[in-house]
Amino acid sequence: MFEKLRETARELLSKGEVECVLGFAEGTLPMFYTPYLARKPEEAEKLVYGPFAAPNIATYLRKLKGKKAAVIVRGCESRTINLLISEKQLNRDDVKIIGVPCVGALDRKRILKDYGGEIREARIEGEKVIVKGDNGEKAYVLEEYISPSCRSCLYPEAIDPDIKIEGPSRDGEKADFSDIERIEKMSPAEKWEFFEKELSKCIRCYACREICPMCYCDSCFVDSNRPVWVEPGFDYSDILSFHLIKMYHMAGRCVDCGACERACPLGIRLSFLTRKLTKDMKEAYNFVSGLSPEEKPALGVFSPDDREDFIL
Amino acid sequence: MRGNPYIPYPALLKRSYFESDDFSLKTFEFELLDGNRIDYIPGQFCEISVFGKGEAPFGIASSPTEGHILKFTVNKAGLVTTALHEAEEGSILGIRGPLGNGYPVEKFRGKNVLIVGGGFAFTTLRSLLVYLLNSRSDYEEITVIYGARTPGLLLYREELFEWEKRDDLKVILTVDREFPGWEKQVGFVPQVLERTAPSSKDCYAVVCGPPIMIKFTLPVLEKLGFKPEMVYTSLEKRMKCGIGKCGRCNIGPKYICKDGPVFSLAQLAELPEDY
Amino acid sequence: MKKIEKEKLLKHLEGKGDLVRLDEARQDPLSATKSSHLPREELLLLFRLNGDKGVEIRVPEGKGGKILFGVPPCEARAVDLLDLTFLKDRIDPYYERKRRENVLFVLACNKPRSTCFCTSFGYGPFSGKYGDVFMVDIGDNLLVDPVTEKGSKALEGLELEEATPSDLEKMESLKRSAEGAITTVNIEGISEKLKKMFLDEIWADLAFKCVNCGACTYVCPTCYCFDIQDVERTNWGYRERVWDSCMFPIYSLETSGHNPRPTGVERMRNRIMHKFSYYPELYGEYGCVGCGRCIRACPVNFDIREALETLKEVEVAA
Repeated sequence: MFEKLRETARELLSKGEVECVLGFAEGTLPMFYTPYLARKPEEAEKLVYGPFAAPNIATYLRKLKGKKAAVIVRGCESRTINLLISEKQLNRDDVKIIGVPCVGALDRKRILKDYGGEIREARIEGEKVIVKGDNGEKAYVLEEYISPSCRSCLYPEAIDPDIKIEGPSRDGEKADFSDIERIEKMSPAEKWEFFEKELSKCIRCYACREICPMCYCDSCFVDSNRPVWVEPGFDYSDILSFHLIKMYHMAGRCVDCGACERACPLGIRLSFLTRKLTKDMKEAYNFVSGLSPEEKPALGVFSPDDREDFIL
Repeated sequence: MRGNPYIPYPALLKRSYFESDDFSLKTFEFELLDGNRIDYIPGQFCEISVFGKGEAPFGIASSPTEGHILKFTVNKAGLVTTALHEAEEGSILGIRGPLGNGYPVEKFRGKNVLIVGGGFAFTTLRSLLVYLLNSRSDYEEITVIYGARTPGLLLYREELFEWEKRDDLKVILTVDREFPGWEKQVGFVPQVLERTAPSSKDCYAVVCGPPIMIKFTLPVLEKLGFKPEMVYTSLEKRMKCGIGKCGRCNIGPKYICKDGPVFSLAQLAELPEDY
Repeated sequence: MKKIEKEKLLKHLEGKGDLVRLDEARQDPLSATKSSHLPREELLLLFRLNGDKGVEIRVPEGKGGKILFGVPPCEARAVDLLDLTFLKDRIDPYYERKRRENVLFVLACNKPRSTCFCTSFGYGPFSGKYGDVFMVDIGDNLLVDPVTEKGSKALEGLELEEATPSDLEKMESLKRSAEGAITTVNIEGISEKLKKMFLDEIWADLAFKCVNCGACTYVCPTCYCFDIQDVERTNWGYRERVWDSCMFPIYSLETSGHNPRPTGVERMRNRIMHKFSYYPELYGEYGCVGCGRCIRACPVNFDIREALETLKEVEVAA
């Protein structure tokens, strides 16, 4: 099923149009595609795409500075590229964008949890994920196990790709924010309890930060000792500060790809934060991040008719 | 060192004064409280605590032969050093040490010793020099070549000028470029070393300075015939625990804080270039 | 070997210390065994600034030992490896106290995971030499065998039955099936080879997919690097150590701005070298137990088994 993509990548590499093609390959664990850089035409055979790809591949573009690269992207990843271009982190001319269809990224941890025992292999069959392991073979409906972020995705397909690989994608019209609405209706005390329950699991490994293509700062506020914004250790107030300040930095810059949540080794539902940001930006400013590389950062522009009702 | 190696001795800051004319370097003299004393040799270091800010490692600039006052010269750079520069005389800080191996002073007995220093890395070299001069007859010729960017950045200037006057010691001071009123050597340390061309016969060389100085000094020493096992240098890396536990200061399997900071070039040749 | 009902043994252990159960849930992703010896956050000292009267330093007292019940052999072995760092040269008193007080009831691993490769390191899921008491769950009963004096003492006062030949047979069969489920990575000679590979170009390839988060190091039962930091309050404060990770840039960043390991390539190299070259050189043991935790925790599927295979393939000039 990846023949069209592989053929495209092979051609780009053998004609010397690009030095490398950035995408995903089969990983060593079931339901887990791993970031992969094809540098020779024959390496294009390894390229894959689909729901098993957890990270946002645009994160790796910072490792390819100065190289002519092609990158295989889904909708969210192409929007990230637009943001990186608008923030002067990337030149559009340096990357060739290959758009692939997207049915959503798998919430792998939920399948691992629901299956219970050790899963030893997995495959996608139509709209199902078939897994095999210590508890026998089981099938899971993909749509029910995609990342929460993908549920509210309005742009599953790459925006303005140079090359487009055709195939079935999610329906971008059905943005579902019902879980966020549920939290919005909670009392402050309930919200506090809810977030504490999730975030107190944090071990400050910063996988969410490192996997995020928009967290590209050379030095992060959380590492600063002059001044100390966040103290060392695992006091909940510090963990909360880290996540909330990070979110402040992400407002209007987050494409809500869900990669941070999928990266978290503790399984923290970070999408509750990123999706609230996405929802608020849409409702307050009718803003969706990364739709065009020309677009100015949402919080970097001012319009006289901007909403003000949240200002205390 | 205490039974619990993480607990500093309370130390009284008796005196502090600027060491350089640009106010970036300050010398601190400490006395350990409660009758505590530490035995150390030149080249070892201590972790100084500014309580609430943290700890940072500094080479000991005093010599054990000078009594119980511990002296450090500190460049104002980060969180701890800034707080240290701001500490008032009479305040109580913490000192943990001595840490590290120090210079192999026992090996120097009966030998010639060449001390090559640059910038504010002269601290443990001062300790070494004072230590050697304290029992001067135990050593043969002692030569010191020390340079800084400007005359005002030379550490321990008054002492240096006194040492210059001694006839049992050769002291060569240099600054990077011409300076009004400066009548001593001009030029970078490696160049001055090459011009001075001290004999490598039966001679140990101890080199401390900024990485760029070391980089250009070592080939000169090699040219002068110094063997790698006769040349010592003191390394620096980010450190925390100072006792080889916390991990970060390793070069290959060696920890600078515990197995160093002093290494011979022969030892360094066995280690990966990870510093 | 002796045998006893699990419930009887647990009842006996209750009240003898803080009982931590590791036998029920597969403890993922963090190793409770490591945290019980090297907590992610640990107070080193408290200080009070008394103006002219100086500073008062207080060392916190320990809380008393834990009984860790159901420690898998890999994690118990990992503690032995931590000993090499924390109990050699200068003894680390905080670690030493916990090591002395904690009692490790090791439980043979009946159901290895797909990521396990412990058998690569000369031991296996049924190795009985780690911790204080070795146990095997044979279904109706636990087979128990004290490993240390501390272990014998923990079992004192219990009526233990002699294991029957059929019990031992059951154990052997469980052992065979567990060992059979594990894929061994042949790492023979890797530490010697790595010594010659410091400047090899392979590190850039290996490090490409790594994003330099600390997940692998934090879940690793043998990773022990820590940072020491002060926390300041009005006229008092404390100094603590917290887990740190060699994968972070600031881990080795010097105040001057110089960083000897400026990119992920050098950091990845150091992490692998530490476990597979430096630890063997210093102590004659690999710094990895093959538990596979890092493989499961990695957000980008960096697989240390695959990395070892890649390193083995590299041709190095003699």
